[in-house]
Order: sequence, then structure tokens, then C-alpha cells
Amino acid sequence: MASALRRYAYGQARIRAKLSRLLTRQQLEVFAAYPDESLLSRELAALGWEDPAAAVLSRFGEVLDMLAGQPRDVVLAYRARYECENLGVLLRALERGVGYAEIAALLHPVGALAPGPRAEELLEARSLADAVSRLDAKPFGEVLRRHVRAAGAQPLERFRLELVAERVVYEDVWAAVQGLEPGDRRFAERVVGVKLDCVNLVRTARLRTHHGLAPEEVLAYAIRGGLHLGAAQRAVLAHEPLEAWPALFASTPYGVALAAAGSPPQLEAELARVLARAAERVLGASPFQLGLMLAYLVLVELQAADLRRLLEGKRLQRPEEWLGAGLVTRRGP
Amino acid sequence: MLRSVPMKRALVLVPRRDVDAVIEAVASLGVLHLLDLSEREEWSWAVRPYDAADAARARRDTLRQIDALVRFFAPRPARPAGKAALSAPDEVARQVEVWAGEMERLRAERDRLRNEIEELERFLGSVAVLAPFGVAPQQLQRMRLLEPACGWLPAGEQERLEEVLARIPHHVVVADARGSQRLLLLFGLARDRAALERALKGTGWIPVAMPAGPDGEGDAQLAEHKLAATRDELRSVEEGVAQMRDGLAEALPLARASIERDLLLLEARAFTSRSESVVFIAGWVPAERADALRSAVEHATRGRCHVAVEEPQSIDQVRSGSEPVPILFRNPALVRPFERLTAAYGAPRWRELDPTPIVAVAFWIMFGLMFGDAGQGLVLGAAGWVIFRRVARYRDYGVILMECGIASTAFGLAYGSVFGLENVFPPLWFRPMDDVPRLLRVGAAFGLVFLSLSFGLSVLNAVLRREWTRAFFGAHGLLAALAYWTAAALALRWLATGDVGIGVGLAVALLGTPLCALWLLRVIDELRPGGDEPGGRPGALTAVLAGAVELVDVVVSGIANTVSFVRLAAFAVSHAGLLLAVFALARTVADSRFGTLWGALVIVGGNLVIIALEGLIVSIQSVRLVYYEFFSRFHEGSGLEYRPLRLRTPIGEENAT
Repeated sequence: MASALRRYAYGQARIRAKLSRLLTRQQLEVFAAYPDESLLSRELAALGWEDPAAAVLSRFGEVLDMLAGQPRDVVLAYRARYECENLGVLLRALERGVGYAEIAALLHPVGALAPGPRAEELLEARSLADAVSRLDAKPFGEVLRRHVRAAGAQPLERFRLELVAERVVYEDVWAAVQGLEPGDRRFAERVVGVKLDCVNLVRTARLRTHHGLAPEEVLAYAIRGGLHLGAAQRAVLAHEPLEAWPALFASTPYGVALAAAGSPPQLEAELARVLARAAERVLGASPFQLGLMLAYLVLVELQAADLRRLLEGKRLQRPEEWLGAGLVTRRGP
Repeated sequence: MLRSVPMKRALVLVPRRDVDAVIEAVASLGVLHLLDLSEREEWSWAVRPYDAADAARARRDTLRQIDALVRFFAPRPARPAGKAALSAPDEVARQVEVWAGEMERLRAERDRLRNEIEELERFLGSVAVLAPFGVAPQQLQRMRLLEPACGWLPAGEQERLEEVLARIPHHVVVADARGSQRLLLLFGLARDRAALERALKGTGWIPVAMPAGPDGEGDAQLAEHKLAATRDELRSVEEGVAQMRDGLAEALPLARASIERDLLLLEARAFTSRSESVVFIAGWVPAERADALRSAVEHATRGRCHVAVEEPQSIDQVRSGSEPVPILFRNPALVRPFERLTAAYGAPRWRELDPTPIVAVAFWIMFGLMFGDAGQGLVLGAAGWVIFRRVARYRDYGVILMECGIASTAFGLAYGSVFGLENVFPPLWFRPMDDVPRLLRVGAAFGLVFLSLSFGLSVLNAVLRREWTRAFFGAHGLLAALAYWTAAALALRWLATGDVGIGVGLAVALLGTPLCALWLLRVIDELRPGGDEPGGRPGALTAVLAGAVELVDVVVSGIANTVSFVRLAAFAVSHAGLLLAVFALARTVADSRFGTLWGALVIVGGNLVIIALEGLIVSIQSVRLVYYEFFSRFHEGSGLEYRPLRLRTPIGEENAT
């Protein structure tokens, strides 16, 4: 307890202060009523959310500054998802022959593939396989090169590389969580575990409906880890029809979300709400543990997703009701 | 104190031929916070930005090559002995190009040899894998009902493979293990061939080609000879790599320093604009260093320059708030470490007051109040001194610790406590445990003063920013402050005498007048035309309700924030209580064998735990009170920190500068 107190005392005070600065549900609903995107952008800029993705990464930086040792490694591993997004952007650009200048703004300033010479160099690759050969061994190079070799003479599919990279990132996070001290691990699992479960559910739904992958392929790309969905549940996800999921997973926290969702995007939104509730519960638990930081980061990410939805919705002139219905943020006065 | 260092905006005009020398001189001086004026000034049509993009890209390429060299050779960090002059960047870039070419050659050769070795080992492995089973390769190929597969998989992935194949009949045999890799022999049913292939593909299974013919044994001997030769070849390439690594250990840091220096100057050039014959450089400089900047530029150009210096208040963009003026704190040495606390929340904006000195004093008092003990204070002070002297990186924290130690000692004398012993000397003030209500009053009174200061600073900042509406009827403006002070005066009088001293009607009038005025003015402000509320002005009822809600918030937060300071007393009592517990424990163990020794150990250990644990908690509470109760009223922290263009000290010249 004493070491946890020493480790998290300052951090938890700062996180509490930061939580109070998150936007409330009420504020977001007001934003949904704004007449156009430019006005909303200006307002968000004044509140420090000019670029939601950059704001999220800045919050990650702040949290990382509060941590050391294994807890820091967990947050670093959790942040690596943005490196994975960078890789995805670059591979797509390479596949479509898009120049660096056009995609530089889409890259997150994190990791080796942040905007800069390394990312530019990757786009000079002759093929996907060549690009993979130029990656650093960690976090993606070693694993992806193995998959390139495994593919052998068959044509390399970009989406499979992305799936493997994403799998690596999430499994690294889970492994890092397992390396925590028991006090930290218990709460970190409640946040990261639910996140992994949600990712597995959404990924499986998409792989089966959009890509038409066979059960054994779906299982090969599933993320091994999570709080409520173990190996047996992942097998059910891969083999059983999607319509049967709500009944089969009724005893898990995802049953209601699965029943309410009619498509993978709806499922994603419903599961985001489940994740937000899990994060809120951890915030109400013991203050001296890593879960607090992770829960805060999850809420920040969900808030950023809400803001992106609002901005895009305004750009596409979606009705206010549509925007309000899709909001995940629950915090309020 | 309270004001940041006055800044001036400098506009430097120099002939184009002198621009490099000027930028280098400015960067060496390290006082100019660069500014891009090309888009904003009325003469922007006459100038063009300085296009250093190509040159900067070339330098970044060179840095990328240096990074690649470091990654590849991983030289041991080495520093040149004594001063090391930096070579010209162009020369360095050419040299780096040569090294990079050599690196590529070595890498290609090494990769080729490694791949060859891997292939040969895999081939020999696949020959060996079948031997223990007494199975000839051709027998596997003849199988009709079974589908065999042989391949490498990382050890950690075997569990995934089992999970993926859970519903497919199969059997896996570990045939060999090399490091983290496992050579697996997998048998499934021939009818499941497609499913097996799909499953293996996703797990990263690297298939091993089975030796095809009956001549496998002869091929194996040839392969072993070739493997030995290839390994020798690889060894000689790796020796070449090692030689180059030693050669680059000193050269690469120097090369990087030279290129980084040049890149910084090029990037600084991107902030400049130019006409046909002159280059414009603009930026913010501390007023007191403006002359030094002028001298440096004149020296670099031999007087062929024009340096104009403007006061910020004379610049339209600054007055309108579209151009931030960078903030450079200016505080005495004892207060300076607390700038970190302010900066962590955010720098003040131009014209705003720097709250650091008030924060420092309040921190000392709060810490002392909560952690008053002369002996423990001296220990804290000594720990701070050690950190200050020994750990240069944490020198600021050492100073803060020393100051907190002194505050703790002073309050320890006031409380009459030294390491929890209360019979060594009489208290100069009173003992916390003897008069807890008094301590509670002290905490609340401190909060009252501290919050009054925050109201004062809020009004002052608004006045300094010419935000009159906010100054008078903002949530922390003059009217709110008046209501707070009136309520505080009435409460103090009531606490001291048990009577507010005036009639209830007058009290309500005194308190209600500023609050009602605040409410009405808020409503009027909401309803006044020209507001930029999205979706138009609110209706009258909405404005009235919004004003009322804000009013309730002002009242509640005023009370809550003041009461929050009662924690100062609570922590002082808990500090004394913990020490009492330590002494009670010491008395308990004193009756046992070696009781005196155990008792002394408990007292020393207890004191150390209290110093470490409670010292931490008390500092957190102090930070919390500063951030939540104090800063939240007046300090937005959205200012721009002063970051001048500054060249890093060249390697080996640290002592010379």
C-alpha cells in the first residue's frame, strides 16, 4: 500500500483534476446543436480539443510523465495502437500509390513511424513486402516479416498485415498488464480486459461479415487476452452465427450491447458505452492504482471519438438527433 | 516579482549575404523567441518566406543516415577527449554518405549470408526431423488420408495454433527447438487440408520444404559443407562491421552535432522573410536583452543592419489577443523552483500576474501547518540539502524540500514538538492536540485569506487584460469578491462573538446586494445584442435561469473552497496523532526483552515512516489546494512559454562555456 501510495499519490491528484476538465455529456449535446463545423471547430480549439487525436496523445504524454517502471510500460504499450494506425495509413498509402505529403497529416506523432523521414522512407518501398522488410524489429517488423515469409508465393494482403500488427499491439498490452503487481493488475485488467473483449467482438464481426473469413482464420487473428472472453468464448465467436451471439453471451456484460446492435458500427458504439461504464467503475475504486490512469485515458479516447463524430457529422450535415444518439460520453454535472 | 520579464518585439533587417552570420549570432546569444510575421504584417506583400526547405530536408536525410548508422553499428557511446571542432556540415554530409554506402554493402552481404545459413539450417533440420520417427520423406508424400505439415513457429504461438485448431482433428509433434523457435510436425486429415492451410497462414507458420527425393542424405552432406563455408564468410563480414563500429564511435556524435547545429540554423531561417536585398527576422526578446541582441546583430553584420524594437502594447495583434507574448518568469532564487508548479498548470498570459511568489509562500505555510515538527523539519531540510548538492538534475526539488523543512521546523517550534516529543520545550504558539477547534479556525482563516488573494488576483488580471466585464461581474470578479468578503466578515464575527452584530435584515441586504447585482448583470450580459453565442441569443427565461445557476455555483463554491482549507487542521491533527501512536507503540514494546532498544527503534522507524509518507501526503494536499482552490479562480494557464532560439553547446566545449 505504501509503495502504491508513493507511486500514484501525485498522479491520482492530477488525474482527478484532469477528469474534471473533460467535456460533459451536456456540453457535447450543446455542440451537437451548433449550426456548422467551423463554429464547432473554433469552440473546440478554445477548449483545447482543436485536434482530438493530438489532444489524446498529449494526454498520454502527461500520464506517461507520471509513471515509471512496469505501469509506464503498460501505458506505452497501450499507446502503441497509434503506431499501429500509422503503419496502417502508410501501408494503405503505399498500396494506392499516394505520396507522403498527402498522408503526413494523418500520421500520429508517436513511435518510429511518426511524421518524418522514417515514414517517408517507408513509402519509398517497392512493395508491401519491401515495406515490411524496412520496419524496425519492434514492435511490428519481426512479426510481420514472419507473416510475409509465411505467405510464401501467395499475394500479400494488406488487411492481413494490419490485423497481425493490431493483434501484436493488443497482446503486448495484455502481456504488460499481466506483468503488473497484483494491486495494479486487478484494476488494469478491468479496463484493458474490457477493451480487448470489445475489440475482439467488433473485429470478429467485421472479419466475418465484411471479409468473409473462415472460422480458423478469424481465430488466428483473434487477440488472446481479455476479461470476460477466453479461448472458449473466442471459439464461439468464430464459429457460431452472429445472430446467436446475444443469447450465447447474455451472461457477460456485453449481452445487452450485442442484442441492441444491428451492425458492426452499431455494435462498436454500444460496446464503447460498455467500456465507458467499466472505466467509470474503476475511477470509483481505490485511487492508488494504475487502473485510474488507464480509465482516464480510455475516457479521453472515447471523448475524442465523440468529438470526431460531431465534427464529421457537422461536415456531412447530419441531423442533431443523429449526432446526439451516437455520443458515448456519459460524464455530466 | 508577480510580473513576468517585460518583452519587446524585435524586427531585424539585414542584408541577404549576412543572414547566416546573423542567425548564428542570434542563436549563440539565445535570447530571441522567433516569430513568423510574414503572413500578418502590412508589408507582407513585399516579402517572401525564406525557403530553406530543400536544405533542411537534405540535413534531415543526413540525420536519418546517421540514425541508421547508429542502429546498424550500435557504437559504444564515446565523447571526444577535450575540445572537438565541428566540421563543416557539407563535408560531414559527404562523409556520412560514404559511411552509409559502406553500411549498405555490409548489410546486404550480411543479410544474404544469414539467409543462406537459415535456409541451409532449415533444410538440414527437415532432414533431421524425420530421422527419429523412422519415416522417409517419400512415405509422407504418399499419405492419402493424412495431411502432414512441417514448419517453424515461435514457442509462444504454439498455444494460439492449438486454439485455432481446436475444432479440427490434428496432432502436433515438437520435433526441434532452437532459441524461441519450435520446429513442429503437424498431422491433420486430408479432407481438412484447406482449413489447415488457412489456420496456419494466420499464425505465422513458416513451412519447411521436405527433402524431396531418396538422395536426401547426400544432399545433407553437401549442405553441411556449404553451411560451414558460409558461416566463415559471415564471420569475416561481422569483423568488418566491428572495425567500422570502433571507427565511428567518436565520429558519429560529432557528425550529428554538426548537422543538428546546421539544421537548427536552417529551421530558424524558415522564420525569416526576405525581399530582393534584405532579410527580416522577427521575434520576442526580454526587454533587458534587447541591446545585447542589437549589438550581436551589429557585430555580425559590421553595422549593416536595422534593429527595430517595439513595445507589445503598441502592436495591434497583441492588443487584440491574436498574437501571444511569450512569458519568461522572473523570481528570486528561493521562489524559482515553484515556477515548475505554475508551469505544470500552464504559463500565465501576457499582462497577467505571475502567481509563483504567492504560491511559494502559501506552500511553505500550508506545509508547515500540516507538518509542524522541529526535528522532522530538520531531517527534511537536510535531505533537501543533500539532493541540492549531489543531484544536479533535481536541484529545484532539493530547494523546495529545504524550504519545506524550514517551514516545518518553524511550525514545530510554534507547536512545541520535536520528533513527536512534546516535553522538550514549551510551544511558542499552542499544541495542535490541545486545542483542535483553534487549529480548525486557523485553517479556515488561512483559506479565507488565500481565497481572498485569488479573488484579488482574478480582478487584477481581468483589469490588466482590460476585460472589464469579467473584472466586475465575472464569477470571480469584484461583485463576487464583495459578496464573499461580506459573508466572511459576518461569519468571523459570529464565530468570535456568537453574534453577527447587525440585524438579520441588514445582513441579508449586505450579502444580497452584490449577489443580486451579479445575477442581474449576468442576465443583462447574456441578453445584450451582439453576443456570439452559437444558435443566437438565449431567451429571457434561459438567461435568468442560467444567471441563477451561476449565482448558486458562486455561493456554493465560495463556501466549499473555504471549508476545504480545514484540511490543513485535519492533517496537522493527524500528524500529531500518528506521532502519539508511535510513542504508544514504543511504550508497549519497552516492557519486552531489550525493550529500550526496541522502543528506540520504533520511535526512529515511526518518525522515518511519518516523514516519508506524511511528507508526501502533505505536499500533495498543498499542491491540490493551490491548483483547485487557488489557480482555478484566476489562472487559466493558457500563456505561451518563452523558448528562445538557442544553439546547444558543442560537444567537448561544455567546460569552455
